[in-house]
Amino acid sequence: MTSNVTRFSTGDRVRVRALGKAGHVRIPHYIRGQVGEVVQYCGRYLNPEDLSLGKTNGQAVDLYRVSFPQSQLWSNEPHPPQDRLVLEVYDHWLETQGAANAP
Amino acid sequence: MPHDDHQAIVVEDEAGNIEGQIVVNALQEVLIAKGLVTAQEVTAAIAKLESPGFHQGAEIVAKAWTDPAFKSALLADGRSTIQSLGMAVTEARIIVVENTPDQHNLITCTLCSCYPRSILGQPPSWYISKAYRALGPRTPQGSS
Repeated sequence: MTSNVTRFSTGDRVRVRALGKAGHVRIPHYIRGQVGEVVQYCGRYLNPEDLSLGKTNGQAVDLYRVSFPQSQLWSNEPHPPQDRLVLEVYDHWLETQGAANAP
Repeated sequence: MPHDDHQAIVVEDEAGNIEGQIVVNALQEVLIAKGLVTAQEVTAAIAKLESPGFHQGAEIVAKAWTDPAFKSALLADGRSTIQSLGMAVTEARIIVVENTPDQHNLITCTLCSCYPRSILGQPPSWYISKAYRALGPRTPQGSS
């Protein structure tokens, strides 16, 4: 993660990994395992999961905004087909869609 | 469903958490008595926390309504454009989204209380309530 090349680009289809991490993580359970589309690159920041434990010497991690169809996330709720949930997701929570270890 | 499943909301009580307030007051008295902090410093810190507010948000939005160049700059780079108004922005990045007749945005922090505090001040209690954070993403148009 020392290069200036990001792993994902706008328009890429990605799956949110289900890392099973507890604690101060920013990935709600309803988004884990879901496939979405990268809509924006936000820059590179220290990992808040480390910062919450006082670890300030970690590597900066790429942050993306990822868009998911609401109708895909909430099967029990009616949602207009155009509605989207856009979530900021750090790089280590993302994999390309269809990766072998996808849940 | 056991009672424990119905968790208390983080900060729902506008009157404040009484027990928490007693602890804070006691701690402040001790710190002042030991000369570690002065009452003036506490007051100044509170004033600094409370000086930003939604009036600044209103100013930003009103300027965007009336100044197309400012609006484009705001949507492209929220942080530096808001700073150009003389507001101290301490967040690393500010992403601004626009409501249009066809697209409405609802902002929630999924974890606890992320909020542009340096611009808008402290978030309202409903914003950090579990009910809003859970129902906002699930039924953003309101439950029927």
